[in-house]
Amino acid sequence: GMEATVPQRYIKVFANTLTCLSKLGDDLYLEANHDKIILRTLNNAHSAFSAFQFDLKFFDSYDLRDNIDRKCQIKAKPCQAIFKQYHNMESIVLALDEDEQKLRFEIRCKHGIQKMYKLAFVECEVMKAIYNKDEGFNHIVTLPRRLLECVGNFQNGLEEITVLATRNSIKVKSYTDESKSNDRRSLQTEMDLNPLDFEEFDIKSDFRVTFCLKEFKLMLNFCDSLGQLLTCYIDKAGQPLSISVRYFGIFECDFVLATMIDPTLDSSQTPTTTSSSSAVMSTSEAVRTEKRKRKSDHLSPSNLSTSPRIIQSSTSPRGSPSPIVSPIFGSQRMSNPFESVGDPSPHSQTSNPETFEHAMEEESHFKKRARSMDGMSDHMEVINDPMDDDEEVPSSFPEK
Amino acid sequence: PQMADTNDSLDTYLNKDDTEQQDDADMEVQIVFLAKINNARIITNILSAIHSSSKKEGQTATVRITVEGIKFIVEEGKSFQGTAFLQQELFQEFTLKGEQEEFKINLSLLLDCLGIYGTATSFVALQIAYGGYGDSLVLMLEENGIITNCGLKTMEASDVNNFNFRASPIQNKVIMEAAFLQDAFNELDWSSTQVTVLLSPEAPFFRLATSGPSGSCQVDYPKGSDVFEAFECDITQYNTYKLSLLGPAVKALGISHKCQLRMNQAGVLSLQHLIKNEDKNISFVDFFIAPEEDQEDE
Repeated sequence: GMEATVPQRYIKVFANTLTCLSKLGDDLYLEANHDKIILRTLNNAHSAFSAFQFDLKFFDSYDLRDNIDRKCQIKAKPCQAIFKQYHNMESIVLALDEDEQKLRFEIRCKHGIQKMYKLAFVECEVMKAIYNKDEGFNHIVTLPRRLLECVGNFQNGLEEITVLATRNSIKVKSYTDESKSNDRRSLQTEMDLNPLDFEEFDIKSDFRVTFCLKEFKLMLNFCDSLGQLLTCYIDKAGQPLSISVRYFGIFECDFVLATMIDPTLDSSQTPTTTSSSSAVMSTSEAVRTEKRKRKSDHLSPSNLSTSPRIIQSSTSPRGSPSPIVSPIFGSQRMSNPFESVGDPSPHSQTSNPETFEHAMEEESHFKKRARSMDGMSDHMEVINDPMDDDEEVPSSFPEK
Repeated sequence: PQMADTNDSLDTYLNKDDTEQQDDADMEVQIVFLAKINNARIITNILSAIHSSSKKEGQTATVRITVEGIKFIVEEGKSFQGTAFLQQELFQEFTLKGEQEEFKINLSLLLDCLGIYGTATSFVALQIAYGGYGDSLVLMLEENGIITNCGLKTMEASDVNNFNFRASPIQNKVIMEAAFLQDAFNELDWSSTQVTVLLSPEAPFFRLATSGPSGSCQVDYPKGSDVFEAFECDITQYNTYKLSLLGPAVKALGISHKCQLRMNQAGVLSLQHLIKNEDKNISFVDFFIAPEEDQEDE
């Protein structure tokens, strides 16, 4: 039904995409349209979503039979083993075989070696997340490496991280649950970043957001492997934040992370207390993603009816209520982006960030791969202007 | 390293034992086999190629000593056999009284003893002594003047399978650099239980395929590829093998230099690994794996 060929120069991007997807979620959702292929996944906790979009120009050849959109889902885990070692790969053919109900990867490698993997797929509907990439929101633009270096200072196993920002400051802290009287984590880390280090630092309203560190690191590592600047759109506690990277007009990826609803706020938000998360596979009525370059109106709420679905981020061993994580699926009114959060809790005083042990076995693995990506830019043709006018494209990837 | 000194110290120690025991009339010092090697690591390396650490009680090996050398044989039912041959040229001294000695030994324990000084880069001298049927296998290991004595109980040797590989015509064989073959096997889905190996004079020439709950996977190496040092396949043949039985053979690729893969008409798969030893000698380790029953050769 569909067949696409990835040329050698884009194999690293493709392989890294599949590896990232397989680490984030159990299932991989593929959508093949006449002008693009989109791969998506959602993590188990429903707190992290990713969408990778490959333009037609990414492929050497692309054939969609009868020009009918195809949508299917496969188990993501096998992809991790398949694409772990991609340095010998010369070309990849991605094909949907509707007769066999299998998704095929035909990989040609050096020395004439050919590999073929067939994974069973089932048809499904498209799943999308709700998030806003309106530049009217708070946003920062930076090299993924900066953020990776920052989170590298936090200890291994830390589950959540908090980012606090004002118009001219930004601080990253390890998250501790106040309600747990005896938080296991006796080590707390806090780091101030310099807004001047960012390519763009546009915070219109102060925020304090808390989200999952593990997924954040996975996303950053992927972005780092592309060698491009990322843009992070943040609204406020309770609203999802998103990270996006563009790659020379032929590939883009969006990551969405749910953030914790700030329990200290009064509730103009509707924190319904939760029970267990339901499997959220929205139907085709799911809210569309909106993406605008200019200041825009609020997102119009979609046709989806029901009350916001709340997802539990982690279970607490003592049975005390877990932090409530904002929904990223289901219907939702986006709140006024300019509403001030008015964080009542005192900021900790600024102190020199203390560097603690570095975590990241995962990261060193990606670091090695990221280094090998440096040579990629030689093969790139810039199709469109990859960035917005006021964002700078670094002329060369900084040496590590 | 000054090996002469250590050999002397070994001899002295051994002679000392003899002197002390001469007074004891009941003790008969009889050694039917004595071998010495300056670098025990050579032995450890080769033996670990056939050793599978999965067994709790340790893996048993049959030991066969002849004037040509020492052969270690491990087996798994009737479907798997691995042999490592330590040729007498590897040893600085190799003396055997009689034609052959055969017994069984706990290979895991033997490797533990050989590795008693850890994985240091210094040389460990080794002496192996065997007193004949019923006696223990006595190891003496020396590193930097420190001597360790180990006695390993020997067991009754039972029959080993004779795969008789050559009895059935061998129509397909390929030689590859170990690293390439290892890559090929590593690509497979090791959660599957079986792997099919295909060899043919026509496309796809050489194929490894697995299929399991996650889907299927196959790796093809074409005849002309430079991964093959030699490619001689006369007929199209494919057989299925238990993937777990191939484990040791694939693991051994990690320390071997080259591998010859052959299939005889009965469908038995033979993997012969060429190992380059530290002292520039070459040793061979062989594996035979019988095909799963319901497959038929073409």
